[in-house]
Amino acid sequence: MTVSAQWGAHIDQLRPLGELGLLFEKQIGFGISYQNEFEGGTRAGADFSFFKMRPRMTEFPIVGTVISGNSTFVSLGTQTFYKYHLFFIDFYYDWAILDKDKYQFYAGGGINIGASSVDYEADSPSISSDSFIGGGSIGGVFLRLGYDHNIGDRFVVGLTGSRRVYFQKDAGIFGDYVYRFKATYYF
Amino acid sequence: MKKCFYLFFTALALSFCGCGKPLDNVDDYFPEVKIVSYTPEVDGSVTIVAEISDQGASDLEYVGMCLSESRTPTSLDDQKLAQLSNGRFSVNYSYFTNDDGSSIDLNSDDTYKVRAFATNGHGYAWSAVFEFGPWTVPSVEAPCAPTINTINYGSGTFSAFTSGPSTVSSTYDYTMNSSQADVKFAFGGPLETGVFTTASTSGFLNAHQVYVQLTIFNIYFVLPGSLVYVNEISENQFEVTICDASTSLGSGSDFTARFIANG
Repeated sequence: MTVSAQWGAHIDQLRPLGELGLLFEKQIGFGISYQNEFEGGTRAGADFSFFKMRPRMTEFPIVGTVISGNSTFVSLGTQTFYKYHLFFIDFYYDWAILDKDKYQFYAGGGINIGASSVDYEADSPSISSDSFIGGGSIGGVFLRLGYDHNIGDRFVVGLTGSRRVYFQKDAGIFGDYVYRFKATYYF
Repeated sequence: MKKCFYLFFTALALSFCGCGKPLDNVDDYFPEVKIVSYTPEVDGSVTIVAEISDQGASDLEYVGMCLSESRTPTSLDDQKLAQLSNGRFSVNYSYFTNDDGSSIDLNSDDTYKVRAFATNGHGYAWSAVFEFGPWTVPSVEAPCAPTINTINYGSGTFSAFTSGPSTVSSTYDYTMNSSQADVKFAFGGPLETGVFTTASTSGFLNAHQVYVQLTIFNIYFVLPGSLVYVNEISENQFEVTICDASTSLGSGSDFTARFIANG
């Protein structure tokens, strides 16, 4: 192969874990990617992806408490998500476990940065009622395993599974699995 | 070496992330609670029992109930928290709060709506709305059995003539007149089967409070906290009994009486 870089498009499935998994369904996303070819058994690249998350409930039950002296009031409220979009750029470095002419198995890891775009409303009776439209930055790390299959000289399809953990500003630490089908064309 | 450090750091971060696989059914994160019974009490209140059938995906934090006269109760409607014991908890309601903020005693002729709730680390769940009433207040048994229409205090026993009710004031008043002593029972509401508690004044009595005043040369009263037992023995006819109640007259002057009167 004489080219050293390639552009691709990918379709993903994001499977949220933990608290994010309580809130949102597993979701299909998409994106574009850029990566070098394996040289000396390693390569680097970056994937940009976008996910439009879908809440698992119309209204989530949220609990607030007001403690005054010996008395406690438990506020039983609701939170409704109108929008929850996630954008990621995964920067990765892969090591070829098996590097053949027709296919490669590899393991890798990297960092991701990104942003969320959120619109929600939360109501806690007698405590607060607020809504939020905005976003927050995201940063984290991930490990991944993958398989690439070469079709001819210029076309590669591949599957990757990533386990990611990331900190989302003002929201907490979240994790997910991302399964990615990628089609890449060598320019 | 750098790569190894990077991989180790990443693996460490992943292992520290509390990122368990999500539950297939989102409702499984939250507790399940249901109301299993209600019991009318002799003091006019009602005790409601609820059961936790599933605590959800994390530890329970609060359990309790909310009550309303007319609408589906929310957390703002007479919320009472409870303690869980063997998967169950109970709440006793003797009044509800009206929309204007005033407290109104439960009336055994009316119906009320109550919901139980339970919270855990993921959220909360309500029980189905439980509607109760009208109900019959259970009959009560006084711990003493004095002769009807007699007054006993100190070492004396006196026959009495009973009259009432008089509603000249805001209370339901019954009077026992004898040669040695007169006694007035001022009930906060009309007579009904149940246990009433004595109060230190006849003002602002609730439906299950009663002020008992003795006139023996001077005016004395039964100290607060004594019990007056009322049973409906026939249609609108009630037997009222008070047993060994302490009075403001001092020690050795315990007071016992029984009379029958119309409601």
